[in-house]
Parts: sequence; C-alpha cells; structure tokens
Amino acid sequence: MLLKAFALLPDDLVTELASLGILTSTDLMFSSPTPLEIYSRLSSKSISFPEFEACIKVILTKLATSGQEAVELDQPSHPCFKMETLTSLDNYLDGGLPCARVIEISGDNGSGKRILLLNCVLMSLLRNREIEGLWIDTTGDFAIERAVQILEYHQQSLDNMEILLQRLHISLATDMESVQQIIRALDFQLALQASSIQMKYIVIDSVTSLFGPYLSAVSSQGHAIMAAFMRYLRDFAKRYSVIILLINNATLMQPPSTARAQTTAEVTNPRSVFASTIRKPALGPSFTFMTDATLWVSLWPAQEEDEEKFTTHVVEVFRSKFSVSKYLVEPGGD
Amino acid sequence: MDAQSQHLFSLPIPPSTLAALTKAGYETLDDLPQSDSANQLIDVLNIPFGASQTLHSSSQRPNSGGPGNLPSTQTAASLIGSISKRKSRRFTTHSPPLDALLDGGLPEGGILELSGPPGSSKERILLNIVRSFVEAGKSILLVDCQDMCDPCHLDELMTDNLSARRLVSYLKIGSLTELMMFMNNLSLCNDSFDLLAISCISYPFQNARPTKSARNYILEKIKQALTKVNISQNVTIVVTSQLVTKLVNIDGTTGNFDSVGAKGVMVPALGHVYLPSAKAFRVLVALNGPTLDTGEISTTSSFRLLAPLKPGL
Repeated sequence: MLLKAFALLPDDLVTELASLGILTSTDLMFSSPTPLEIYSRLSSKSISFPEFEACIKVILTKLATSGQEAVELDQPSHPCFKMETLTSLDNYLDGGLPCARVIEISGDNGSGKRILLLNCVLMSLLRNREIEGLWIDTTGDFAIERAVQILEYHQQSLDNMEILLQRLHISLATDMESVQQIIRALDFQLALQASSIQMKYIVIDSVTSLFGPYLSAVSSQGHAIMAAFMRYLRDFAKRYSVIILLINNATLMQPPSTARAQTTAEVTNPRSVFASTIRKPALGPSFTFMTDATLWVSLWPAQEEDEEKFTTHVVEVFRSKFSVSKYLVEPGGD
Repeated sequence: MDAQSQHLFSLPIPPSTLAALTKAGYETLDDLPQSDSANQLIDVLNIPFGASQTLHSSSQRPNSGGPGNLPSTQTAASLIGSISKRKSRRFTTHSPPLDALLDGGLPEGGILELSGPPGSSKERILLNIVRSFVEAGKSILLVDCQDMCDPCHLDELMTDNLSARRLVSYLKIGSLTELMMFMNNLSLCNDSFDLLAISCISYPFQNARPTKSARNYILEKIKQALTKVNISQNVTIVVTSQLVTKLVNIDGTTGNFDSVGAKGVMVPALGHVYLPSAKAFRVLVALNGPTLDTGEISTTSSFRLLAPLKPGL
C-alpha cells in the first residue's frame, strides 16, 4: 500500500521518505533491516525516533491479519446453508454442497455438467423462496427453454415459473473484464444492503473460456490473473456465504511414460469408478487447488438393455476440502 | 479482511503502462487517486489515452440497487418473453438443398462454416448470402483472406441493388498477423454490422505454418473474438474454409502414411476449435464429379451437415 494513503503519517515525512525512494509500506518495512537505519537517512528530523517507530507500528497493525482462536473456528457462526444435489452425493457430503465455498464441476463436452447445475439451482430456488441466484454465461449457450422444461417436469404452473425465474439472474459476459465488473458490482451492492438480497448461488458457466486464453507457457501473467481472481472469489464466498460453482472443461491427459519401459503405462486409479482416464480437468495442475472441491461428471457408456431415451451420468468427487474420502486408510489395515 | 481491490495487472492495459504504475508504487485500483489528481498522475506517468480511459472506467463506483442493476444481466423470467419473439429471421442462401439442410435458411445471429475442396461452390454461396442480407437492407463486413472476391466483382454481382455499395464493407487480409490484428480489433469496432463474412479463413494459416501451440492459441483467440461479437451484437457469421487430409487408422485413431489400412479423410482445415459454440452449423460441400447432362458436362455439389462432437473427442 502506498504510504500516501495512510492518513496517520505526517505529509512531510511521506515526502521525505519518497525522496529516499520509499513509496509503499513494503519498501518501508523491508528495504532495510532496522527502522533506525531509515531514520538516520532522513535529512531533516521533523519527528523524533520514538514517534517514527510508533508510525511504523501503526502501519503494521493496519496491514497485518488479525488472529483467530481455533475454538472460535470450530463453532460455525450461523447454520450453514447447503445446496442439495443428487441423493447419494448428498448422503456422502453430509447434506449437500456447503455454503461459503468455491466448487469446480468439470467434465467433457456433453457430460451433463450444465444441466446438472441448472437442475440443482432450480430445485434450490423452488424449495427456498427467498434466495436468488446469478448465472454468468460466458459462451452464450444458456438455453432458457431447458430451465422451463425442468420446471414443467416438476409440475410448476406458468405463474409460479415466472415468479421463480425472477429470482434467477442471467448475465452475459465473454471475457475476464466483464465478469470482474459484474462480480465487483454485486460485491458493492451486497455490502450496502446486507439483508434484503439473499444471493446464494453464483454459477460461472465455463471458466475455461475465461482463463484459458490467458494461460501460456511463456508468461505467468495469465496464471497471476487466474490466482488473483480465484482468491477474490473465495473471499467473496466467505464474506457473503454464497456457493460459487465453476464449470470447467476437460483436456487430454498425457499418461506418464517411464524411461525404462517401452510401452507407456495407462493411468489407472483403483479407487476411482472409472477404469482408466485419459481426460482431466482443464486449466492446468494448480487450478484444482484454488477451489474447495472438484467434481467430475462423465457420461456412462450405455448398456444394451437400456432404453434409448435415457443417458446415464456419473459424478465423482475428485478432491474436496469439506468431506472425508471413503477410502481413508484404517490404522493397521489396508 | 476488507474487500480486496482489483489488481492492476488484471486490467487490459499495455505492459509499459503497468510497469510505470508499478514502479510508482500503485498495485491495486484502490491505490489510484480519484478524479483530478488522477489526471495529474496520468500526465506525470505519461500513460496513453486508451489506457487512461480503461483505468478511469474500471475505478468507477458501480451503481447501487438490486442484482437487476448488474451490468449485462437480466432475469430469466424476462428471457422467457423473448423466446416467442425469437422466431428468428432466416436468410436464404439461394441454394435450395442448403436451405433445406439449415431448416429454412441461415438464422439471424447464427454461425455457419462452409468447407470444401477447391472448385466447390462455397464462395458462391457466401456471396449469395451476402446478397440476401443486402436485399434485406442489412450491413455486411466482408473479409477476404484469399483474394477471392474483389470489390469490382462484387459490384457486378449486385448491380441490381443500388444500396449494395453503401451496405457492404470490404476488408482484405494478407497474412496471419493481419488476421490476428483484425480479430483483436473486432470487438472495438465502432460501426456495427449485421453479417460478418470471412472468405477462406484457413488460407493465412496455410502460408504462415504456425507451431501447434501457437496455432491453438490463435484459434482460441479467434473463438473468443467471434463469440463476443456474435453474442453481444447478434452478428451472423459465415466462414469458408479449405479442407486438409487426415489419415485415420482402422480403429479410428489418427494415423500416418505408414500405417497399414489407414484411410485418408478430408476434414475442415482448422477443426472445430475456432468456432464459437456448439450451435454453429458446419457444412461440408463435396463435389460429385462431372456428369454428362444433355450433352454438357456439369458438376454438382452435395451438402453434408457435420455431426456435432461426441463427448470424449
């Protein structure tokens, strides 16, 4: 932060420090090992050394994060709102997807991610009449007809549908700047009117098309943009207790080839429901660590005896911070 | 923790401006001073006009109000109302089999890719579509990457329509660099147009021969630019492309000339990556070979709609 922004520092001190090349708080704290050294470089001693140290202390207090006791963290401050998805997944997740989290749903083209999320969001809006949702569409593929179809399947009259759909907001944003604008505007509004809007869901459809063009092998600016935005989303989710759902596409996974073996080993994971995978979530290896959970949706190959009208999909939790793996190793056994 | 401010590196400003701001100690948007002192800052740091506009608009405080006031947002309920109005207008391609394939013609705001071997009628169909739009009074931007249709030829084609000269804008692209510059500037274009017709988009790639990763990067950029202009301004897009041979083994995997039993398949040169969305129509125009018809040799073409992508490919 710029030293000019701190109102508590006297102006002449700020200008003097600027002449020494110290413009930001980082410079002040880290450019030399002790404050005495900086003080000795000041040409006119307009303030005394204890006052100078006091100023530095004020800056440090302002910038530092406040501590929290572990006891406080253990008790949730208010009952957590959960988003219900599929029954078996909810049983595993202890009720549903928890609030104040950023969750990634990835899968191939046509695996059913968008329709799954649309179903879950609409069901949530149906059950709880005060909450609202925001769907950010980056590819233009959102079809309102599908939402109407889903609501018709659940026997909703046209009037009910209209009232419900008033609470679902659809945004069209094709690049990072527009999405940033929308979410920051929402941030500002939610900060002002804390209780009147109950925004509970934000879905960003296809975060791959947002970040993908920025990621490159020759520059890390794209990765920095991605990391900064994801950090902002997590902070946003925590502050307003919303569930942020990101839809991510899939890319080809290169199986590891060992130097000794002639043939490349197939990638298998005995704990996974899939026999072997050649597809993995897109956006690189670090994206999965920027979200709180990664779910993978896939089309299950149709069995011969199945009717042609239905397709089967499988959802697997690849990684999650809020649920325990079923395969936790028991001590003393495998 | 206070609300985090947006970092300056995530804004679309040139690297020199970003370097100047970082050197002066500004890291986030909150660091930038408001109003008058901002102008002084911009003069002191010598920031170009475009970048200063971006900084100014990004640091504007957004309006208060419900989620209904978010930029480019509307409720789903209001979208329902537009379904019935969305019986979108169809433009004829003046080629009955293609019209039938497209369910009545090219829809307004739709995307069509025509690919075919040299000598197939894809360029002629492109010009027919341009003519359709001119007859409807819509404005067109015609981008010529392969020198297929110059303005004089266009003028001859549309002599019966006097407004054609006013409605059709012509742009010639000579190299891949120019194509990329065009795509970059597409969304910044002030004059709006209703149809974007690109003649032979695969030709600049053929000459430049970029590396595989560079090619993918460029195709992603094209996709972004086309999506943006298609969605935000409801521009219809028609693109023609040449074909390349792809060798496919018996089991379906990609092969090469040495694989036994591999067949050669002609596929559109750039693949599907550069097209905005799954709703794009991809039509292959195949030549049927010369037929002897009432003493004259004529060639016919057949049209085939390429299937949408299966999951996993």
